[in-house]
Amino acid sequence: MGRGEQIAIGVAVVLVAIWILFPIVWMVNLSLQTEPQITTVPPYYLPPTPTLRNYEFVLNAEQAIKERLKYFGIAGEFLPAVAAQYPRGIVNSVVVALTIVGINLVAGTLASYTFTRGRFWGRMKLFYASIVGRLIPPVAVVVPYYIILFGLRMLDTIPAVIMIHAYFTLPLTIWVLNTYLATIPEDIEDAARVDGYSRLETLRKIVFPLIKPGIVAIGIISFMMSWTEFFFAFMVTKTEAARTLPVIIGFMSAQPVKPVGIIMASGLIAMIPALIIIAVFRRYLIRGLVAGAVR
Amino acid sequence: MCDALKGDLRDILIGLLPALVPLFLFGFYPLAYAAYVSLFRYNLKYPSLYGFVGGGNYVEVTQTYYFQGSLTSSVIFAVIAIPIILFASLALAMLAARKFRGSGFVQWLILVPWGIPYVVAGLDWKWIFDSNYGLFNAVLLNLGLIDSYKPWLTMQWPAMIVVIISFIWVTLPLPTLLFLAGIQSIPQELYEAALVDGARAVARFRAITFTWLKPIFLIVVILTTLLSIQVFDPIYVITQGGPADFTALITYFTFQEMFTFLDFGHASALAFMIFIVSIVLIFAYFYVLRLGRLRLRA
Repeated sequence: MGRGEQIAIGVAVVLVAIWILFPIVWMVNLSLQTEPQITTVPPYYLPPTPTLRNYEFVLNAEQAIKERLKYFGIAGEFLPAVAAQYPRGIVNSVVVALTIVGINLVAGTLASYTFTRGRFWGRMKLFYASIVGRLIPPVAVVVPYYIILFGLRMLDTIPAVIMIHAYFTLPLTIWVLNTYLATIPEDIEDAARVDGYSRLETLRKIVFPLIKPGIVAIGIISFMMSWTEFFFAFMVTKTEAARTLPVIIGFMSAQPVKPVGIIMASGLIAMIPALIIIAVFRRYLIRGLVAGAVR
Repeated sequence: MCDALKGDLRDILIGLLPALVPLFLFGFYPLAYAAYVSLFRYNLKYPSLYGFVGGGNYVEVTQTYYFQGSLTSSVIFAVIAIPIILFASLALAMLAARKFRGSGFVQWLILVPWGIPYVVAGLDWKWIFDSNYGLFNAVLLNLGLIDSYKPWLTMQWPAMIVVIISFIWVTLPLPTLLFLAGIQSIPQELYEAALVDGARAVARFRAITFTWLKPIFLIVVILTTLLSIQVFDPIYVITQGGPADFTALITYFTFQEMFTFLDFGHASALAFMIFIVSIVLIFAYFYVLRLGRLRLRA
């Protein structure tokens, strides 16, 4: 690598780091300030008196308010009631996202395998249909959702959110795994079939180990899609029973007075799982998509 | 023979049902319902007018005050965002694929915004560009580029650009990841052979990198187009469609028809049109990139 090239890469890396980190750093900065400090002109580039009260409030609103009342006699600036749902929102989001990963691993693999290897009438049509499913604009289907979920008595429940997330994560899973499966020679499976394995046994015992990297990648992609999804969860939930983190944060921002520090703190907490997952699985993720990428 | 057939049928059902149930119950059934409703006058504000109108809703929505404007906004958004995401993600992937000290960290860094909800990123960028307390104003004022704080989000183009920035910031990682995976799967011998043949960097990129990445390019183009056509969250938290409906893309107006004007007929007609346009666009991509039909097998 030449000297000029090294410098070019260095400059590029710095630019990328600024582009990605600067908004996050600014969020951290705001989340450590009090509301009056945040609304100062010009803004503080560093928190003058760093405080974790925004985080305390998000994670345990009741306790935080009690303490403030004890020390100051007043709760202080405007505090959004919806923030009290945040801890429950974390639980909901984790439950939904993990279930979605499970559904994509099982249902996605099964469907993709059946489409790739099965021989039955309407196979191609169904395959196209399952991919085209992702093209449906979310706004088109939310009102029908309301009617369906009302009929099933599932409005404002976690299973409803899970079913909807399953619907919109599965098409990509099926497509990616299909390209992945296509790279695996069918001979091995034929041999297993001759030995008396059924299709599903072949999938479990022979194919599954071979496509593991692709499945890890699919699991992570579907986790991210579900974790960050706002619109559907926003539409079919009404209380903290089923609201996910993006929905709760969205509601905080819809308050007459925006609690900026609290919003930033809750946003930062919502990033943590993704950061860890990317750090842990980065290699698998890239490798898992490689075989899938080559047709 | 008959038993074997039964076994196969059972396997196929086990294989497909878990995926197809959510797909049909929450994808195609609601879509069919929307298509059906789009043929009726169905406005919750005027329930007595309920009745079959055929293509009436489709004609009416194209004549509404917002249709042309929001269509233009959608096109502006897509025409700016899609090429930027394509080129930036390819460039980022090429950077991340290089081996240098800390390249692992760079790969991680590039993927970070992926796990951040659009809502969060939108609120972050919104506050940065805030008219009273925003960082952007403060920095520009310090540098002497502006005389006084500007209300960026109440100006049409700046508001659009802020929405696009926040959209790109969150959207970039997945395409980058796909390209990165693709680049790393390119056999190095190809480049060595090209070097021996004396191919220049541009020629190497065109002949090897781009050709090899074509299928991924297709996936990325489709994914990015879909996301930009269906974009909603950043608009909802940053501008709520303003100023003067300039950032109210067609999806945002569909949302408003449905939940503000309560005109399900109009909203369904709009949504169904968006669906058709998406399908047409995707077939056009397949055609232009000359990849033939979407296929099931290698």
